[in-house]
Formats: sequence, C-alpha cells, structure tokens
Amino acid sequence: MKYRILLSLGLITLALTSTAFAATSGAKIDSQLCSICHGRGGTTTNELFPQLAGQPMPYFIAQMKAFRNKSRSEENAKRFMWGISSRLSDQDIEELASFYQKQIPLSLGKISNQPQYDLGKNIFTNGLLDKAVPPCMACHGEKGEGSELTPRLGGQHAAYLKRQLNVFYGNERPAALAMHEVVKGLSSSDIDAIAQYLQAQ
Amino acid sequence: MIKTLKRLLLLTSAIFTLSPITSFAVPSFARQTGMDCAACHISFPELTPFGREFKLNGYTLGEAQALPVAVMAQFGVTNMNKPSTDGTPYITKQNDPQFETMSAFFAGKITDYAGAFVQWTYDNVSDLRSNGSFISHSHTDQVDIRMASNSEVVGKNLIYGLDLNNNPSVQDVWNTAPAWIYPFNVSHVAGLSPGGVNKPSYATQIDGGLAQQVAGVGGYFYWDRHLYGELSFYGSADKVFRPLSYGDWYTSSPVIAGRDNPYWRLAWNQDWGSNSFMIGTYGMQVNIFPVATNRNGPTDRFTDIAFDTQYQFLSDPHVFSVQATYIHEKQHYDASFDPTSCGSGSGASCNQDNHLDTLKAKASYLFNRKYGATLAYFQTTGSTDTGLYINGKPDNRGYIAELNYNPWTNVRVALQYTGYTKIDGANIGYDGNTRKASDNNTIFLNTWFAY
Repeated sequence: MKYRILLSLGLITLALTSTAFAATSGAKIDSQLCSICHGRGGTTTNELFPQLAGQPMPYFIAQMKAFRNKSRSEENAKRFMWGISSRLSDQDIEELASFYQKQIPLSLGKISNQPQYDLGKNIFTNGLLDKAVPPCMACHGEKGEGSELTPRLGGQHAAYLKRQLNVFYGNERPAALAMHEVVKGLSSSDIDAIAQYLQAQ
Repeated sequence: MIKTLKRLLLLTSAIFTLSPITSFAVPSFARQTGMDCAACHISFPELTPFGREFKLNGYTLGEAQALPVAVMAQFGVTNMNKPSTDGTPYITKQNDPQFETMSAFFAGKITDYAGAFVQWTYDNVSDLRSNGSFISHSHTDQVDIRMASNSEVVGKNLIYGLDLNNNPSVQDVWNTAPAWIYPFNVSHVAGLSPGGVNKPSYATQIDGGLAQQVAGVGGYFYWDRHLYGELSFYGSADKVFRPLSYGDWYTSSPVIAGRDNPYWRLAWNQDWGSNSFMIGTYGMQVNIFPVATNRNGPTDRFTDIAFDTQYQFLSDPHVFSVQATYIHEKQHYDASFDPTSCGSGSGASCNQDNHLDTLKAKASYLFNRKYGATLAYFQTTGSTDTGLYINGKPDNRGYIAELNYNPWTNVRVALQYTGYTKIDGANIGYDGNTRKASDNNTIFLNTWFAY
C-alpha cells in the first residue's frame, strides 16, 4: 500500500513538472545535455571536447547538420555527435546556435613555450608564403574570433585544434574545402605552434 | 595447459569473427542513443560522467526502440594454485574452458520519462551435483527501473526521479558501491568447490547479501552535477515484486522483514578538465528473519554505514581511475543470539552484538581504450564469534591483478589473478586442516562480449 501511494505521488509530481525536451530554449538543452561534455554555456575545461561559447551561429548550425546527416565523420563525430545530433530538430539547433554565439568563451590563456607561441603567431598572422599557406586570420579574424561559416579558433583547446587540423589531411570533413588545401603546407610542428598560439588567445 | 590455451584462443577468435566491428556497451542503449559505448563507459561497466547522466535521466536519451534487447556472454578457463589438499578437491574443472554465463537485457527507454535496465542471466555454472557436474540455472539478475525528469533549482539543473530495483546500490552511478565495484568478471568455476571452502564466506549485507532477493523503491535527485541524494525503502521481493527475484533459491535465503528497511545515499561530485571526482556515503538498515520459512518472532538487525570515493582521469589516450569503499556493519542479533547452544560454526551467534568492516579498493589504467591493467585489494575484518564463524573470526584478505585487452568496447579478453592471504579468519589451516588461503589463488583467463 505504502508503495502504491509513493508511486502514484511520484507519477503525479513527474507529470506536473515535466517539460518536453523538444521546443525548449537553447539554454535548457545546453544545461541538460550539451554541458555534460562541453561545459556550462559551452565553456569546457576538458580538452577532449571543444569549447562552443562564442561560435558564430551559421558555423554551429552547419556543423550540427553535418553531424546529423553524417557528412562530418571523424572518429569522435561518429562516436558522440552523430547520436546526439540525431535527437535535435532544426529549431533546437538554431536555438542552441543562438545561445552559444552569445556566450563568453573561457579564457585558457596559457603560454607554455614562448618560441612555439611566436611561430604560431607568425603563421596565424602572415601565413607561410613559400608553402602556399595563407594567414589564418584572413578568414578566421584578427583574434581568431571567426564569422559566418568560419569557426572561432581563439581560446579553443590546443588538443582539439591539433586533432582537427590532422583530420583535414583526410576527407572526414568534406565541407571544409579550403582547409584541405591549407594543411598540405603545414608540418606537425607548425600545427603544434598554431594550436598553442590560438589556445592562448 | 597449452591445449587449454589453444582451445580458448580458438573460442576467442570465433567470437571475434562473429562480433561486428562496431562497438556497443549494453548494446541496446547504444542503438537507442546512436552513440558509441565509450560515451557512457570507460570500460564496461564503469561509467563516465555522461553515462551517469544517462542513467540518472532514466535511460531516456534517444529514440525508444521497438525491441530494446541485448545479450552478453562470458567464457573462461580457471587454474587454481592447488586443486586439492589431502584428497579433498577444491575445484572441479581445472584448466578446462567453460561457457560460464550469459545474460539477456531488456534495456532502454520506455517513455520520454521512464526507462529500464533489466538483466536475465543464464548461469551455466551455477551449482554442483554430487558427481561433480555443473547445474545450470537461470534467474532475474540486476534490475533498475526508473522515472526521471529535470527541473531548475536556484538557477541550476536538477535531475530527480523514482527508482525500483532489486539490489541495494545497483541504482548507483559511481563504481564504488557494492553492485558495480570491481571485479566485473569473476570465475564461476572457482566459485564452486566440490570439497571444502575455497573462498571467503562472510560479507556485509549490503555487499551482495541481499542482491536479487529484495525490492526497493525510492526517490533521488542530482543537483548541478554536484550533489546527489537518495532515499529508498526495501522489502522482500515477494508477492507483486516476485519477478525481481525469479530463480532465487527462495526457501534457503534469509528474508527481510517489512517494506521499510531504509537505504540512503549522499554524494558530492566534481568534474574539472579531464578529471571527475566523487566522495560520498551510503548505507542501509535491514531487519532479517534468519530462517526464510519462519517469518514470525524476532529478527536480526544489520546497520551498514559506508563511505566511498572515486577519481577518474578521462583523456586520450590515457584513462585512469581509482575507486574505494569502506563499509562498517553493526549487527544486532535478537533472533540468532543463543549463548547456550552456540558452538563452532553452529550458526547461532555467541554475542548479541557484532560488527564487520570491509574495505575494497581498485586502480585501473587504460591505454587507447584498448589495453588495460587493474590492481585491486579487498579485506573484511570483524568480531570474534565462535558460533557464527567456523574459525571464530570472519576475516578475509586478498588482491586481484588483471590485464585486459579490449579490441572493441563490447569485447574484452582478460587475464585475472586473484590471491588470498586470509580466508575465514585464518591463513594456514583455515579449513581446519592444512590448506593455506593462498592454495586457492586462481588464474582466470576469460573472454566477455556483448551484442
């Protein structure tokens, strides 16, 4: 008897307070789902996951849809984001994009290796002319803030940036046409340097 | 031994050929969420922060499957340090590969606010006939059915829900409490001795003593991924709850009195960077009729108070985790206390009040989520009682060392060594004769897979 009362009380409470996942605000989806890995407001300190705060809305939407239609297919995209994105409607994605664009990115600001930082800064600002590598800031903005379909890179985890730059050697992010060309001129120490520099922005 | 190894290798390769390259943990959960096992598990069944959220949210993330079922199986070969002493055998199938156990799961989302994890196990090595052959047996295994929802409290997310389960701590989301603490795969063959005792006999109630015999209903909350609290009440899994204990050897098990035996849990969780840390306490109080067929009269009361902690470093390619728990059990014998007839191992307690203390700890390292190593320690100590304990003391102590290879997250090959330095209160002559605790040390080579 006691059990039945408990159970019915619980059922009633749940029914009264429950709100469906769909048709909720970006902030709510962030707080209940995305933030488990990406941190509250898309500001994770875990280098396994990218920061989402401050990403331009069009870029975020394009990536989420690329996960959902499985055209973006690097290992972690397959493992985690294919499943997650398949649960989100167009409206959810737009609300999330608008939410994350407004969030203030976490400042990771740490320079562990000054010469590496300087090299990274140089490639970011001037490119590598002899290797046909254009300056990153030409598309990604002076501080790597990104715009439209170009992602924010400033303040991103170095480990994530390195992983992604290496992904561009393959064809698991076919939408990033320009990047497939750019990485051809980069050595692995160039990639390390750029990642270091950008994380510290 | 070589022949045995060859056979096991053959078996292993057969399994690999049959299993798909894609990886699933409780694979029906993976099919439901579309995610890889690695999202929720470090290595099955150890949960990641995401896995904890998935479980606390009532297994509801994703699309409900028409048939949320999954299976798993374990094969193994066991080698005991000393298979017999003075003509008494302590193991039946030395170096002999065995199909040990298999489970079917109904695991997944039921509605947007409810989900279940229901395990049915076929134990191929469940008991022994007098001629030494195995008796197989199938039964309800771990059950955790829940309803959950989210709300906001002081600007932070709150998960809250209701839970129905059949083993105190099976509902827990850290791998520290008894239901989900290491070891995950053990030798069933070594668990059955045709002769004398070959493993520790005494443990606290919460440490498996009530598993699959009880039904618990309770409520829980998890606030801001920091504060977890839970209160549940347990009773015997009989009448309407009988499905939770199907296959339990019902008449020989003790029965807990009433439906209001409390279980509580309080934990603080902290995630930062690649780190996840938890410190907490849990416990329960149960009143037990020592003889299942006699449900009148006095009961024995057990109060278990436990502390636990977990640390996980989750990165790529390095993953490291440590878990530990300490359980203190106060025993008050109103039913079993009988100073007049208590004798060596008579079952009647010579003291009205006793206690047991258990410590379990383990550390694991996993490289590339493929190559793993684990070291574990366990011990139990307690009051002297010549009536309850065959050697007057319940003490046991040992360790486990394991190497494992996980080609996919749903397949594991493990080489496990379990060593004992004390069994049932003694080392040399713990059996009353000349056998040493360490004579029961076992090597267990096993393969486990799920689909």
